[in-house]
Amino acid sequence: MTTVALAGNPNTGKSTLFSRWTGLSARTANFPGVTVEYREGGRSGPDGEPWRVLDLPGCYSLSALSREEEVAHELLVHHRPRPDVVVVVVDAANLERTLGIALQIDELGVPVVVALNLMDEARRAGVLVDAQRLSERLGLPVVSTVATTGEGLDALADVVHARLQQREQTRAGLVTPAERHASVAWPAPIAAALRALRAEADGQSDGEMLWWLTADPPILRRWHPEAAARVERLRQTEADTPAPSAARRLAAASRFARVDALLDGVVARQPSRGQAHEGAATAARWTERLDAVVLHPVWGVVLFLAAMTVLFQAVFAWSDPAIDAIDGAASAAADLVQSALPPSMFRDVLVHGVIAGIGGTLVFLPQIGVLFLGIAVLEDSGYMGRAAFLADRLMRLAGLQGKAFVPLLSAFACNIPGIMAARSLPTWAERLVTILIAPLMTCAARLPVYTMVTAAVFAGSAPVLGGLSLGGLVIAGMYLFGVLMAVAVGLILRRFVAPGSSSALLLELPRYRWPRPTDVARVVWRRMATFVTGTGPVIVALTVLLWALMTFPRVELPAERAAELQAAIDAATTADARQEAAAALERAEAQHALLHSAAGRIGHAIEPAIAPLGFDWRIGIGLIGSFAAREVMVPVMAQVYGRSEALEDDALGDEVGHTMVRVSGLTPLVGVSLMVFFAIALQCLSTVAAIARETRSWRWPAFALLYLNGLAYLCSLAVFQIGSALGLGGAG
Amino acid sequence: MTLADLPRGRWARIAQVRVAGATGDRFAELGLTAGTSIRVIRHGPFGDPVQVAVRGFLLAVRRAEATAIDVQVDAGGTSG
Repeated sequence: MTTVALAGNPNTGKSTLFSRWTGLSARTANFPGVTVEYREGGRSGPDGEPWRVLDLPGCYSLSALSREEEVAHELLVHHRPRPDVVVVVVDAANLERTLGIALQIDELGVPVVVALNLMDEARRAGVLVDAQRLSERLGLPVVSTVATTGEGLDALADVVHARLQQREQTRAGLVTPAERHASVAWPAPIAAALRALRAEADGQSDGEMLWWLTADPPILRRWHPEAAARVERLRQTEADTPAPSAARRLAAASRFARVDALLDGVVARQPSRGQAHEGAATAARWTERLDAVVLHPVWGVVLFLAAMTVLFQAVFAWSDPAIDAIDGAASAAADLVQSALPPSMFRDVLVHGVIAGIGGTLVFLPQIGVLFLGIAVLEDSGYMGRAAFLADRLMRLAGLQGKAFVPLLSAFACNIPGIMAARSLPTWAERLVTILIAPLMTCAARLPVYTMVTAAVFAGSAPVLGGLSLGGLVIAGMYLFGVLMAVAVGLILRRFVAPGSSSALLLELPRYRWPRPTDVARVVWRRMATFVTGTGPVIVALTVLLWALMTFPRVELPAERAAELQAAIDAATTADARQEAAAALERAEAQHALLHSAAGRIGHAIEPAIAPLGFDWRIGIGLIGSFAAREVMVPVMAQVYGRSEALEDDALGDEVGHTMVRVSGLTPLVGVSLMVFFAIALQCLSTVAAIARETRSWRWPAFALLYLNGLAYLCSLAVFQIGSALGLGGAG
Repeated sequence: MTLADLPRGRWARIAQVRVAGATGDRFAELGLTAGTSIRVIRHGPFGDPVQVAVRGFLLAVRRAEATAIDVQVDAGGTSG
């Protein structure tokens, strides 16, 4: 099978070209051992031969400054099967920057075809490119394309096909790669190092040996231990051998000088304000004009706030109907199975584990879909970079950069889409820190707990600060508390967990474009699909596990108590009384089962540990049960107290809250301690699953569980102990 | 003069990039090499970051890095 790879800078339309070429066959692939994804698909060549097409991660160079570049390089050079031809996609309107990577890939000795993409934008911008001359200068085939309309894509396939036929052979007028590479005048230190390495070469191209010089030693050792040893020896014997950083800068400067020389006489710009082309409003000009408003210190900020409000509102509120529909469908499915199958262990696992887990996965889809719809539109239009530009100063407070704003904002609706959106951050360290602090954003699932507690302990309080309800203020305080913790944790993590990485901002602000619906739909679909297939199974497994904890060992209600309640049913004279008595029996059974389950026993066992926080063992069971999702705290507590769970949300919260006051000694101080715990603790198995998926490891979700729950414990401990010492403990 | 002090709209040439480490390497790979023309378009809220035009594209860099990029103003070049 023939493998064709697509490579190129970000914002060159490479992904659109890939989608156009491969259609529905595209799927996401993963490079082993690294959290970088790339796309893979298929198509047939002009003669019907099947092609495997790889879409390499978009990158500015291959020198492995980022994991994307590392993966792109490995896919080009060492991963098997090696690409037979690489199509380097460049921006016809901006060759001076985007052509450099074509030279670099050509140096590696891989057959290259250049796709001169975005020709339409170049034409509109008055940029004329002499493709024929460019091809002669480069010694590489060059094809003009407009990926968005499909223009030139068949011709591109033909040229790739021709290139496959001739492999290393030359077309008329094209120099051989060897001639081309020999004529490159590298700066003296690089030329000397290459000469030395060539002496021991084992068929590697100059470009590959140059890559050895530019790669950081740990990365080079990871992929090519022998080359690493050779370069290390060279650096010891030849003092002039450039260090990786120096080699990178020398090579880049040399390539850009070559690009400038190549383009001389190849690119012509029509005078943009000239008389000849009055109507040719250039894309670049439009971008500058729009930027004057979009990045304006006042109007730009107003627009930013408006855009972010709409995005947040959409995720937070507009996805509600869809969420309710999925919830309803999941309970309908559960009811159906419940009534269709005879009582059995199998049925219980199916209903409370599998169906609940699948429902618990699908319920996130509306928010994920809406968020990524918004993100895709903002990204494709070019606005996302501007939003990051405006938010950068703010996000720096937490040791992050502007691009972390949208992920953390959406985490206020739900932590999971927020964690998924952290992918837009350019470096692994920033991505990781964003993922690890996203759970500190007060998500919607904490609200039922906050309202329950504040309604129970602050409802009677007099208004404060001129008419504000104390409960409302406390909840607002919890939001602020979460943000402040996130800032503190972000700064610490940046220093200790992910150190050494650059904290600089190098943000490309692409030209504005109309987002294309098919591209947007593709992103939304892909995110939703990977969530269901990648995160869903973990959520289902954890749901089954938690259900088992709360169900086993199964202990029946003691015979005399059961008989007592049964007698009450038998003694009932009216139908209503009978129903009420039957419900009482069911509640007693559920309560008994939970209290004697593993979760119930753990709740009991941890009481000594949580008593200093002001929590009794009943709350302990609630904390364990609410690991399914924070809002489950309310129904689990109802079950602990043997109360009915069948009430409406608010009524259930009131009922449970007041029972907590009477039975578990919930005072305002304990209430605040409990809310502080919920503000920080990672009690959400879906979040754990999402972190595992996004970091591709169990190490980081384990770390998040440890640090967030440890921190929650310490903060609640401080609240309750200091509060008690100040004599606030008994206030009711 | 550094990029941070370059007046808005004035074209200049990069003289030297004194940004250390991987960030400096990245500048080189984006084409911000000695001799390249560069122009400040605007500053972000509170003067940071800085939006520049260089090599036919727009880039945002922080003030901290901009102060480590030495530039030389083109004679009489104010058009943009």
